[in-house]
Amino acid sequence: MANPSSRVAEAEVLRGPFDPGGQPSIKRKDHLHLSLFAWNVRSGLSASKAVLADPKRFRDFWEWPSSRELLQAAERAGFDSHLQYGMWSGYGGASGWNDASLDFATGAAISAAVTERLGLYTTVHVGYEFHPVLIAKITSATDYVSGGRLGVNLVAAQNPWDYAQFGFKDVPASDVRYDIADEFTTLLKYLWTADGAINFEGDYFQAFGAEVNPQPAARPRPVLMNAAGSDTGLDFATKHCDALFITSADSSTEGYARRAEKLHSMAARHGREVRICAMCYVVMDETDAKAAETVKWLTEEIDRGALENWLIRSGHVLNSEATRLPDEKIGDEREAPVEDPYLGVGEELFTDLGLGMGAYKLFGSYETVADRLAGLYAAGVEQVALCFFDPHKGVQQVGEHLLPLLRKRGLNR
Amino acid sequence: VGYEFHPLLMAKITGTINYVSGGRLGVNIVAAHDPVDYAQFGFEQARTPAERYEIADEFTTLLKYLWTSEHPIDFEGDYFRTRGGQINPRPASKPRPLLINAAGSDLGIDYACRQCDAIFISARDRTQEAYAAMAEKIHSTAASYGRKVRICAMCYVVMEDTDEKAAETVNWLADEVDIDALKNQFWRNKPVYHQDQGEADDPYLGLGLDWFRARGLGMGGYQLFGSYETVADQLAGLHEAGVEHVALCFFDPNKGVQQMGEHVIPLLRERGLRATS
Repeated sequence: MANPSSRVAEAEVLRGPFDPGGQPSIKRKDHLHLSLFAWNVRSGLSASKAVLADPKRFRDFWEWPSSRELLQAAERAGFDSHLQYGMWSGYGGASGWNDASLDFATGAAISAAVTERLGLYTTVHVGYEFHPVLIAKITSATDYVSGGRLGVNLVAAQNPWDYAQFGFKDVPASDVRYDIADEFTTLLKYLWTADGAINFEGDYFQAFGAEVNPQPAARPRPVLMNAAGSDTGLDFATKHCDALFITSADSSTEGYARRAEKLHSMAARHGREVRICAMCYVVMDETDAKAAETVKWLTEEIDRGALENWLIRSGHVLNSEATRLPDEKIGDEREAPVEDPYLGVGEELFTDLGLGMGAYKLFGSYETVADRLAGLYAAGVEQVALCFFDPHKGVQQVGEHLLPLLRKRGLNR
Repeated sequence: VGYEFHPLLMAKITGTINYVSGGRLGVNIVAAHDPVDYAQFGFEQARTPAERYEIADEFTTLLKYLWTSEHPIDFEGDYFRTRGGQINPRPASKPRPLLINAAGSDLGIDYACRQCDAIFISARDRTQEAYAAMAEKIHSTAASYGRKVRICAMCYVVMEDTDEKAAETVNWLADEVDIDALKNQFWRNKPVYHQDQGEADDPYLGLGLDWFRARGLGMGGYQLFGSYETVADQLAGLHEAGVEHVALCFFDPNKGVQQMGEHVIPLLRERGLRATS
């Protein structure tokens, strides 16, 4: 039964690139965009029992109203946005790593209500059959209420534990996951931008006489973010999304520069632009030596049990230039390397994952961190998602120490 | 509920909002019947009442498990499945957030009395007696399951200093009923609310003048039209009929909320229907 109250347009079931009304503006000269990352999840990216030394501060900062204060402090400090970590299940261990979180819808809505200017990036999973009309309605309303401050990080879900939570037996193959994500994004963009109701009859999603009202305040639409690593994923990301996360196998700025170059050229082939983003894990102090002490402590306390669960469930490392871990190291088939103190991935990777899930490390004095960020910026990174071991302190340090140094370096207009 | 939103998704969102708000969230569960909305979510037709309430029942069971279970759960239903399903934070409300329902059919009322806590009632003639009879019926159905329910009523409010002034506004609204919008609303909800044979060329859609106006002014809810005193008296009457919770919809919401604070709530206190502090 078609909606009798409106004219309905037939919406072609396209795959990307598809930018009705054009791409949102994503470029800003001489400005490194700073996002506060993972404020909504227990322990953030710290898979370390060190969080138990002061659970309220290091582990449970996501709780309400602690996270409200964190968001408001980030806005005052001069952050450009926050970015939610999308979680449906945690990894347990002695520290209960990521075992609790504010969800994508509530987190975004409450962040809109308690801030005035901060950009709001939420993270939505595609693959669990959340209907695009539902997600379009929620994201549109949040963008509208916030005056156009919302962006959406799309994840083509691959976590088998979460598929099981939503009643699915298997994780779809990578090409299927991205085909679903592609169709999802097309329909989301139609709903965000269409003038009136639409019919859409896709392979995965159908909608007849569908429309959302209010539509987003952001014109032409909210920014879409993605953190794919595989070539299939990057193909989706460069066709459909605007802000793309990159990583580099050796964490060198040269590696980041090569990666950025690759994404720009992939996007250019589709006549599109992308903003390059990097996820960073931050331990800052007055001196390099003091920061190194904290890092040493975090490393000694890595929550091996939690990290093991993460390795098993994620089935890969976030390091997108590295190939997947060998099959015998991942998934259900993985040999449990119970004897190996580093879970069979080697000490370096074990530490890299435990402290920041493979993110770029910003360890050191304020000067050191500012220099490293300047290095990333020179490599083409235009937005960093900062996750702190000690978020309340980290946000304060950014406002008081880091941002003045970034301004001096011409990275914060 | 019928659009296949997964209960884990809904448990996560509602659990988090309840947590953040310090336990202030309740959830009104609707076993969806609107064919236009089924179409928006990709379904070719609305579900039958029997199927809708079976889905709602299973949805609610799983929602309650997820809200209250300390551990991950496995659930293998006819409509919903989860393995290792868990939410954290769970609702701050103990034992769980309040569930509301506005079913009208016997099937729906049976579901509501088994699974929900606050139940909306209505009566086509909108008399106090009819509301009392409906409240009685619902209490006895709930009692047969060993449960208690709170009785609620949806009200449409036009208030003024005097009955005459309110009547003027009401007459204006009635003269201006948006017949095309009402027609759409009527046809989309017909499978549920009406057995009437609506006729497109009848000026009142075959509903008769009175019911046509009641649909146009408040979608068939109880009408609170008049002075503050009149409205307070009508609310006292509803309370006497067993209504413990009213959902007020105002033609002029900003003004209506102000009128409530300044005029109606003091009168309700005088009548002993609100705590005085």
